[in-house]
Amino acid sequence: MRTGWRKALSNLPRLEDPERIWRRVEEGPAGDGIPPTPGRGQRIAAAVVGLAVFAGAAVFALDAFGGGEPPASMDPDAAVITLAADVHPEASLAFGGGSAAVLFESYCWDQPNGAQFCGDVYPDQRFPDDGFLPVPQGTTFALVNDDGADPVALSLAEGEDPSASGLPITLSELGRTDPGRYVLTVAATWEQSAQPIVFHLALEIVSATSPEPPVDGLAVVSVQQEPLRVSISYGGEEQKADIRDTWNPLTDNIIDRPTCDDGTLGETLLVVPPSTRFFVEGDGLEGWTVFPQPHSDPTRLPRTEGPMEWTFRGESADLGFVACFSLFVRDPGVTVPVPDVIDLLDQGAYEALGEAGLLWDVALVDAPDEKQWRVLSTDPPIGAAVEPNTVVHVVLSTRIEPPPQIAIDGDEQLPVDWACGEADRVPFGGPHLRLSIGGEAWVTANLGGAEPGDKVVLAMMIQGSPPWDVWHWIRDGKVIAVVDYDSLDGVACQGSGVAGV
Amino acid sequence: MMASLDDDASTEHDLAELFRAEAPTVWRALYAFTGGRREIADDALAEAFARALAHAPEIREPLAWVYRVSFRLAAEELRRQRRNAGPPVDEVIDPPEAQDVVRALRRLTPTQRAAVVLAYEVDLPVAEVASRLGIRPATVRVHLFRARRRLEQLLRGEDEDADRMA
Repeated sequence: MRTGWRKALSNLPRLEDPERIWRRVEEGPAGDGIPPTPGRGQRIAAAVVGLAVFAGAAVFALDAFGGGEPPASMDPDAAVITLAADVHPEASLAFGGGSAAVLFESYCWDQPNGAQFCGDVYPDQRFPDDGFLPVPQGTTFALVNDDGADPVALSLAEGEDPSASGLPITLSELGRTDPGRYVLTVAATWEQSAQPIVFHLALEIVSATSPEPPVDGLAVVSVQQEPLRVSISYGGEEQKADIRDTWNPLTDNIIDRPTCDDGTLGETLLVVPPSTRFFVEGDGLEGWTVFPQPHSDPTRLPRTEGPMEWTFRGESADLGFVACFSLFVRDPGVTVPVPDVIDLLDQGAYEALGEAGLLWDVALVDAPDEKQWRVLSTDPPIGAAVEPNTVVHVVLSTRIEPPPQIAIDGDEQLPVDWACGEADRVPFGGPHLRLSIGGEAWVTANLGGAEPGDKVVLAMMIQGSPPWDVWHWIRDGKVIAVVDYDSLDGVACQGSGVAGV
Repeated sequence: MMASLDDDASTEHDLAELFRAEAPTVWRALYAFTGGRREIADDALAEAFARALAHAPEIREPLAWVYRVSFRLAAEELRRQRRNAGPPVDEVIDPPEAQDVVRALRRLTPTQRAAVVLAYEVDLPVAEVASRLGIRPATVRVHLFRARRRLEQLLRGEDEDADRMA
């Protein structure tokens, strides 16, 4: 019998009028993103205008664009400038899954009902530092102008000042521009506006080649094909990438490639300092892109400290791929003392640790005589010098309700084959901070204490309210711990090392 | 019976058959994935099949291809809306009896939503869900575990976050 939420799922609506969708299929692909239906486009545009930032900028001379230069909008590797005008004008510049920051100049726009909407100007607006879209030198630029703006004029100004006057430039010239930061200005005229509407796009042209050959302090991304193997190495450690997707560049004409953004970190994190430069090696690799791109220099690893998934997207002549790395970004040269959090309650302790630049996880011990949630101890101990972002293991007092010590398989109840007697079993509480990884690795990575050869198996799943999964931690064929999958509360044999027990 | 088109390069006729057989399922997964944004689901489905039709002779596994492309398109559209608009659009949820479950689905991650629908409503095995979503089976199991626990709480009227704040 279906449970409540499964019954509720059956209420989800079904596809209406599939013939209408099929007629759209037969009209052919739009080729770049989803072609919005008129109704949706209007709503989106209205919201855009509600949040748009308008920049004060100097007027610059408009020059005719292109002179008949054919747009290359169907090139899947192109940097695409898009002009749209459903209800209000929009411009964007997209490349490799990223998009450039956009600033507008003031404008007025005729509404269908005869009214006129005018955008205000906030003077001295600047692009955010991370708003400059990196585009490798030599990239094709394309213009998508489905809403018929005419004429369209492009100009380019060196630097980051959106008010700087630029020089006229064509799409083909854009791809040959020297590396550096630029403001790309697009001026377009629509029938709804008496004057050209001006957009400024933050663009960074970067060198298309990798940096110098690898030396000490560089990370190296290695790509081997047939079979595909991608790895990253730093400081003598190597991590093999998780290949999430592959495609054929000749047939899979998709501009938006996937990124590793599902929060599923691998089981082993490679520790790298922030902003480490990396070098890419591999025969036949024709292009690559990385995400996130917090730097103007796309050859550096992320600078935000902490655990993260890092996407490396590569493409050769006949194979495209997404490789996901699990990194821990951390500066190894700086230490901080563990603050004195003994006797603080949990929230106060977390605040003090956070202010010190430290992470924490929590072990709960069964302490019915103590005030609940008081810090009893830490590891490393108070005052120890540790690197920022070190995980401090905090032991809190609580009252634990361990999971049942039986396994249920259908209607059959099986005893747990414990490796220790009842007197040697210690209840423990699940950690506060967890890595988001999958399967049994969720248990082993988060509780700690796993040894080579240990297995964690799903022992029981009770569909109830709420559902309850129990996992057995097995060593040498015997159960050394029973763990609740969600809370990670459990009970373990003393000395097993599971969750510090 | 599902169209069996995964062995050979597809033709336009095959894709029409595939659309007839699979479009409702792909659409429901997209509907869940987008948190009830019917028009994005419509658009992503149509565009993915249109692209499949354009490349029909070269595509060997059209169903997997359509899933991958349509989910990418929908994800990109959601991202574009978040970047540009902030508040979500297409807030109207219908039919009315779907409102609770759609609101609950919106509290899940997009991948959790799609996994739940494919596994529990379409009744696909985990390996098949993984194949269609382009993620590992182990990851699917974790998404399903978290999603069903969350749905259980949300559709019972409990809110885990509210509980924790109390």
